[in-house]
Amino acid sequence: MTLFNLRASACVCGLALFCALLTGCDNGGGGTSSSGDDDGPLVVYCAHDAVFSEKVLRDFEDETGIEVVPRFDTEASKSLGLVQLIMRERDRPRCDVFWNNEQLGMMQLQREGLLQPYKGEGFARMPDAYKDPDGYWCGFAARLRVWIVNTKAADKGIEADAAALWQRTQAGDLSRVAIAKPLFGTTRTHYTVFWDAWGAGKLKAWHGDWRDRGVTEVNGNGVVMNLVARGSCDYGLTDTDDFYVALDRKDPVAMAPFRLADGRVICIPNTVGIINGTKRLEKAKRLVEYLLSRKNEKNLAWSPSRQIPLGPIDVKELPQDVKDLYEWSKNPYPLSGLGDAADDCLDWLTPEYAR
Amino acid sequence: MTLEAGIWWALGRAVVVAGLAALIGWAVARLWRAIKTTWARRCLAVALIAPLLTPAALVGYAYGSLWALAVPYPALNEALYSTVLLMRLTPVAVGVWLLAPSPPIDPAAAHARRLSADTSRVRGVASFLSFLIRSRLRTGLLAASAVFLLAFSDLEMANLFHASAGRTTIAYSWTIWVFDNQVLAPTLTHALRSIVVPMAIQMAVLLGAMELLTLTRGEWAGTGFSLREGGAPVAPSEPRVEGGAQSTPRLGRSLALPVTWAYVVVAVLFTSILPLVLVSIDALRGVATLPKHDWYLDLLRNSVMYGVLAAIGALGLAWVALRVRRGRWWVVLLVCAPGLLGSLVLALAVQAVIIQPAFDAVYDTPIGLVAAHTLWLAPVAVLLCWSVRVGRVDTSLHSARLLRKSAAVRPRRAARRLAWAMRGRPIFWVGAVLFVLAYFEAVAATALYPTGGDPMIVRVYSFMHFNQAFYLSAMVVLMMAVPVVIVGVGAWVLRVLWRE
Repeated sequence: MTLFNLRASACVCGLALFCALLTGCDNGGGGTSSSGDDDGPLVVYCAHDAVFSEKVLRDFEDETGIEVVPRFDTEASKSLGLVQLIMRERDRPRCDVFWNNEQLGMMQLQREGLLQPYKGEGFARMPDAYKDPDGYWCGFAARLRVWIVNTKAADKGIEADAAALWQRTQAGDLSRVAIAKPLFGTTRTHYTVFWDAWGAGKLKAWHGDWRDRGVTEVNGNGVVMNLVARGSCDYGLTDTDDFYVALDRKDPVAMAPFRLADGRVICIPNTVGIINGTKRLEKAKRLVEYLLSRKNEKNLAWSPSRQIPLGPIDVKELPQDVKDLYEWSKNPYPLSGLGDAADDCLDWLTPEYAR
Repeated sequence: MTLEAGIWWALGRAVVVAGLAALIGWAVARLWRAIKTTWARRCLAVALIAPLLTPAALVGYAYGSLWALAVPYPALNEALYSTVLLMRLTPVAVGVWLLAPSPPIDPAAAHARRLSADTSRVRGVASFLSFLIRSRLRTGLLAASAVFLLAFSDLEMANLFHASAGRTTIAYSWTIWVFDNQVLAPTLTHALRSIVVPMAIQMAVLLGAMELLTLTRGEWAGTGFSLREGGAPVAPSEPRVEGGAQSTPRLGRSLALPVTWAYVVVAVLFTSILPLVLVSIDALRGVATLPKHDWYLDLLRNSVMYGVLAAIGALGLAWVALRVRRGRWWVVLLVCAPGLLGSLVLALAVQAVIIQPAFDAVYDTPIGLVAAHTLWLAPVAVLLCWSVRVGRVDTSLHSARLLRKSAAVRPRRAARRLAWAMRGRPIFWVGAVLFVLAYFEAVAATALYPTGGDPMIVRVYSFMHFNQAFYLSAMVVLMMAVPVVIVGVGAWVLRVLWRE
């Protein structure tokens, strides 16, 4: 051999074998437990930001002893990447439980027949507006679509007032207004709500008008938050969890809930569903119960993302920030009937951005 | 924004960046040859390699605030993105200028042609062009081609710089379109169909470059690339002309030398040192938070293992490619072509293959990611292995091998040390570079990592969209430190083992 001598080859082979052994992933199946479940770890696809959700899943592991193998989505593709992955894996599902950070994707999976119903205690405690009546998915711990405003922009007369901000966008240059690309994530939900509330024609005209007037479109709500927090834009549309990242960083930001003309807000819950055909059904049910529990909702309310509890909870137990959000979220735009609107809206948006 | 627009934007940007990189690369290669001292050459080598090994995500992360300020100014943002691309990719052009095989027409012949040019009456454009691509311009085209392929297929940086200001897009590229489309497309084959045109462009450039390479006068091994003091290096693209002026660059006498040095220093500062310093300052405040996030140790382990496996695989592929008989260029092309198409195309192709039922055993395992990284690294591996003469046995190495069969202990030990210096150490450092590149690669890693086997770069890259945070900076610095420690310890251990 001219490249490696025998010893070097042996070293390399040994190293490769060692690496292959160490790199083996823990997502395979195992034997069968007394409950009929596969002994393997519970595979959870999680669209909620890993920075917030990882701790929840680890706490669940500590509390139940059930090993969880999470797969997180990226900020760029948000939940849609995982929804598509579950659809592509329909013939050999890898995922047991899908923790989505919005509702539309879950409704799409339900329509595709990829979820299986489960109605437990957690399901019972959630309001009807945030769950599928047949139990295919259930919402919990929500966030709001909000205006994020750079407080230094007050010199220009820009204040964190929802009605005034909306009014400001009706005319003039929008280059200092930021919004995420509406193909993914909660901005897609935002557009779907417009589609439903306004009708397709008005939304298309509005969208075209905003783009003509130079609105800044970026990859994700986190980037919107950054542009406003750094002063590159005066204000923009984002989610509450992203706003609190900036606030905790002590950036000069303020917020106001985005309201439709009738005063309703866009309140987007996390959702959880069990994937059809899971071999770890009992473990999956325990995770669903854990996520829908009062304790978890309270923990998420106290987490840096300040999620709004949807189930019954004593408001006094919530941090002040979430108390405000809780009040605002009492008048939400209903998302449950938006399945067709979501599809139609995405069918229109896709060629706008990716054809 | 349409796919066509993305292709045109990326094409224009890549052509400009490739042209500039080839020119600057030529100047830096001249600088390399002009330097005589070992320490200065080592400094230059580090300054050239550092931007290539610094992850694009780190640069984007460190300059997040600066980028945010530039977003309202599309031209400025595009310039910023192109500049970062240029600075990161120019070292590739330098490498090509230094390592590419000699052109068929050497400088002496070119000079003779120039002298005779006035007296020749019959000289068509075709003959002139034919002459040009057989002279030094050929190496420039090769350098530009290599940079073009990398710039044209960039996604990591584009994704961090990309935005739209109304109807005006910033840092747009077909890769962003394909990335969005593969998320939206019902099937991967649907997404893959959309990359036919970009792939055709890449293949055309690739085949053109291969055609240029076949116009080679000398052997591939005819390089004098060396770091040794006093050993006047000979560039393969500029062969030594006995007694001629070509072997002694006059760069030092002009302003070109300090200007080129200044460029190299600015480039390494801008694309490596400054980002690292900025992130490290934040990281100091975030170190205390690290113990709360112990999951990153698993991610680091995954990253290291994928990197090691991909480096070994790429070394193997390079070994195969470099052992083929001369004239069988198609084998080298076959090994290098997938990687030169870029990590996004490669990742989508691998994804489309392993999702087929026939590959059920492979799906959602590390094999897909390691395979993609191996193919992606293959061209770099071939270039580096060739530059350190892997696969070739010269007389001194052969002598060392014979010496190892000696009955006496001292000659055997001396032979082992010699073999380490001549063969083991170069292969180790080539492997180290490949490992670091795979360790920091984010695009294929994001598309192909198995459930439960996230590499660190995927998580960090995702977090980076939130912009700087102290704990994230600490994670980034930790992520940067791990390969340095591994390579350092590995070098020491292997050195000891090999010698003893």
